[in-house]
Amino acid sequence: MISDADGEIYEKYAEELIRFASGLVGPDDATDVFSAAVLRAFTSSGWAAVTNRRAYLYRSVLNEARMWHRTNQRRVARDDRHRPPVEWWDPEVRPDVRAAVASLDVRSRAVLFLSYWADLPPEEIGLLLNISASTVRRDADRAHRRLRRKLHD
Amino acid sequence: MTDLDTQIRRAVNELAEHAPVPPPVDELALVAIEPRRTVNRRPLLVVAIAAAVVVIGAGVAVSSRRDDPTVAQVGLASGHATVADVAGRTLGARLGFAVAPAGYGMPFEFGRDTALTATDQPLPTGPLGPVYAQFLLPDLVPASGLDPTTGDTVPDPALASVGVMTVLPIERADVVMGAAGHTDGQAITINGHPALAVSAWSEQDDNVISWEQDGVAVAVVSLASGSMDELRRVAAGVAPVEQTPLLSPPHPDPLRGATFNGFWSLAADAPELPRAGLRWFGFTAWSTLRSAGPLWNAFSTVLDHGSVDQGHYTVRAAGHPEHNANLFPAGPGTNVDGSLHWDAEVITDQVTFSAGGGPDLIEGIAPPSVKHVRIRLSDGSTYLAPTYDVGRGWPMVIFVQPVPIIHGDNTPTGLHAVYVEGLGADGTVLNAGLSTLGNGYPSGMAGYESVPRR
Repeated sequence: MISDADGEIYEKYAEELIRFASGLVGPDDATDVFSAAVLRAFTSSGWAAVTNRRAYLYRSVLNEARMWHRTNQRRVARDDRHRPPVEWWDPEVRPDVRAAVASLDVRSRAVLFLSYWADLPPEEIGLLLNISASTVRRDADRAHRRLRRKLHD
Repeated sequence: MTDLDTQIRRAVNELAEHAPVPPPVDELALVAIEPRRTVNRRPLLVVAIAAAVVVIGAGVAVSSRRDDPTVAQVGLASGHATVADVAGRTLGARLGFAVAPAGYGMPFEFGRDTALTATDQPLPTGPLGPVYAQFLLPDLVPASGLDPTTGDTVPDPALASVGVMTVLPIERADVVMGAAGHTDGQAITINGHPALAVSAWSEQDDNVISWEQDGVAVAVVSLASGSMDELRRVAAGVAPVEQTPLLSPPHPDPLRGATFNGFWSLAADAPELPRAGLRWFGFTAWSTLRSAGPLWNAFSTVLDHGSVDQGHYTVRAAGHPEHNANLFPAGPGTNVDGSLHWDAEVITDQVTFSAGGGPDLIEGIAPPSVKHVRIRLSDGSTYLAPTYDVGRGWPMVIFVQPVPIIHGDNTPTGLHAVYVEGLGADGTVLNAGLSTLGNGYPSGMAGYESVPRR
């Protein structure tokens, strides 16, 4: 099972990772994605050799969210049609902006999350996601342009 | 900060602020295997679902496309879920593009020259032998006619991407089956070669055009959202590739036409360092392969497909939950100053399922002795799901039972599975309370841990 050392890592990073998962798939499914990703990492035979475990866990959550989106996109759309208003919605968030952000691809959402919520610069985001800082900037730029276009249509 | 920035920040922060509390670490495994959907459903919907479950449970609504008289009669005899003797073989030719076809960039290619050796592990899924593949993305530069100022004229490049694979002829059927979810298609001709055009079985399967040429098999693949006409146009441009890497130097932006020579070690716990002269940038071969591109399905194994009243579905497994759980591709890391360093990236993969249609799935894995799994839902209905042997020596079998809707079950009225039993060939209960339920959602880790190792 999970070792004491991994337990310490879990306590250290669980909160930020589940917030990251929530940013990628929403609060309803964040626990599923977060738990599966962390378990995959902890039980991987190569886990012991990982040097930057925080970054590895972030990428694991990102990969899990990608697979989740791929396998659940139709279900999510169907759920959304039947979903009653959610109480936690912030009244200051415009619904069209919320929908536009939700329509972005997973990596764009990851970049936005780490930029806005975690306030990380592109270099640090790149380290976490194993992409270059220039790719982070491009993803962020594309996400913003996509959002602007959606919101101005 | 603009008003839009402020709004985006609020929308992003809203999701983070309402994130659930992480489960205690001791409960992590339980959380990962139990559905925790929190979508509230209207009572009438639940009643309708329960009624539909009974129908499906009786096996009435599930049908096979092979019974559909409208399907063309041309097909390949798929040998999926078998272990082909491909060790030591090499491809007699590689086919693809020396220059990306009009409208596309070629961000990614990889080659695996030799088949299995004593120290190699098989690829997690799909072709076991040598494979050469290219990954094409819609070209976003002005020459393509798209608007480069938006960068996203194609809503999601991955959805319009194309993969071109060269494999051994004996693995052709596996690749077509894995990609499209079936092998029945239409006979066409590509550059004088008899070819098979197979349309995606479900929305999450892929369109495939496949033929044999120069002693190898070629499969050109696009996601179901792409058109078969476009795929045919691309396929017509496929030609023998004499040298790899094909394009140089790689563009620093992988979405704008860079080419990478993917390479990784398949030996257990032995990451391979980059070879001299090869460059890689931005993202790794395996993460690209598995995340969104058109090659993902082709590298998986189809377990079943069928139809229910909500549409077609395909059940596929990707990844090997035992010894092949990890790959160790060598990939770039980025230093804070922007320079690259080379490191081994560990990427895990597990048994996953991709259901392409409307139904949800109750899924899990069980010991090989289990021939059927009996599943009882909270409304009292019962399913008897067969188990699948993926083959290739996997130390477990898989069960996947389509149901109309099973998730959304955290509410008191929600429908959920309450008990699972593993039955032997003679009906004897071998395992009770198997706790490997996922829900149209990658699972298997917990179940994998619960399965005795060989």
